[in-house]
Amino acid sequence: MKRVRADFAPRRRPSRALWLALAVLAAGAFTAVAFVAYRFEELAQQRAALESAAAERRVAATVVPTKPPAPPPYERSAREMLAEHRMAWPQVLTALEATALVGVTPMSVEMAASDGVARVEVSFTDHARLLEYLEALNAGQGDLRWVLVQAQTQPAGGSVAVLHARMSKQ
Amino acid sequence: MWSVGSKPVDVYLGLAEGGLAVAGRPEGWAPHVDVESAAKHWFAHARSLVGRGLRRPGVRVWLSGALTRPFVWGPVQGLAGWREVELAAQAAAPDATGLAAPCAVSLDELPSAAAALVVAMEQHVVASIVAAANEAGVRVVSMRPWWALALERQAREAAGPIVIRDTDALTVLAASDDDVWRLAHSYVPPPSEDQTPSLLDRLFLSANLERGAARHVALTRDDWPGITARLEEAAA
Repeated sequence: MKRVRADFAPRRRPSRALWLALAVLAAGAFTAVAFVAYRFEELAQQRAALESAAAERRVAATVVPTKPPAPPPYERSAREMLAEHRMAWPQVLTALEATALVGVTPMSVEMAASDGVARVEVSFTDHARLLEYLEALNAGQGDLRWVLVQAQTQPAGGSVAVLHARMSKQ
Repeated sequence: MWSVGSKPVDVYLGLAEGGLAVAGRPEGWAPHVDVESAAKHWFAHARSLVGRGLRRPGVRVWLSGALTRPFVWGPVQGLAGWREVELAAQAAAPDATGLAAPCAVSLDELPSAAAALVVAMEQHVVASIVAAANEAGVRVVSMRPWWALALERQAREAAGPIVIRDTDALTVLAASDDDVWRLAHSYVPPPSEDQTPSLLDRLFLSANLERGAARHVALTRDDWPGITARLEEAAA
């Protein structure tokens, strides 16, 4: 036959002091958990900041040097103008004006500021006159030096020569 | 088992008489008018004998079959949870036992698959005993039917019906071979010794039980602590 465990004694309930102690423990545990969670959050933020800083440093270390900024569009023209301005073209013109020789006639003058060269095309009757003309150009000139680059006689008659003068910068 | 030091304190309460025993030795027995006054008296006596420490002494309260009455209930289907089972058993207890409502009940198992044994007690009696204990400064560590202790010994020794006579009731309990409760009833007042055989004959015949297999246990006022101790030893 089964046992009968009937018992009408009131179940003992925890006292107020025990409930209070439990509440204090629960509050303490909650506080501890909250503090730990707060510290974890703080740590995670610091870690993220450190990783971000490290990534930035890596990017800075691997970045290629940037190209120098492109010059403004007018710079080239300005430089050319400046170069032309600085060429000794007045000396070239003065030399051509001051040198006149029968048998040699200047046909064209071209100033190449980029090369610093003055190109003069002349027609001549014979080579001796041409050489005289070249000597006359070089006579009395300080730093302007004329050279004969090309001379040729046309089949139809008449000869053409090309003289170059290296212009020094003023 | 509870004890104050090495001294268990037992208080027996019936409808009209009760007693006190400390460490298995009777310390008093007396008739009373009502359970509450008797509880106050015996608790105060127990406090005076063993309650000198800081902690309130604990007292085991044994109740007679007139105060704690069993009945077989169920099977009952459709009850959801222990709370509903207890409410239904509380509603059934007054009609099944003759106790006055409201009743406190105790069940060891749900009555869904098979019948269950319900032990009922009037709620105001429970409350008055607890109040008396608080007033006297003792702790009620258990409040059990005395016949349940006798049943424990029977449960260990043999199957078959058991008939328990205490101070104010004759309690009869029987279960089938597969431990399904068949019979549980407290006769209050108990039939006389002469009337008991014929009552049991009729009872067992109606329940289809053999009368000869029944075991009898009786509580006597002179040796109730001794019987209680022997029953506890046998049930342990």
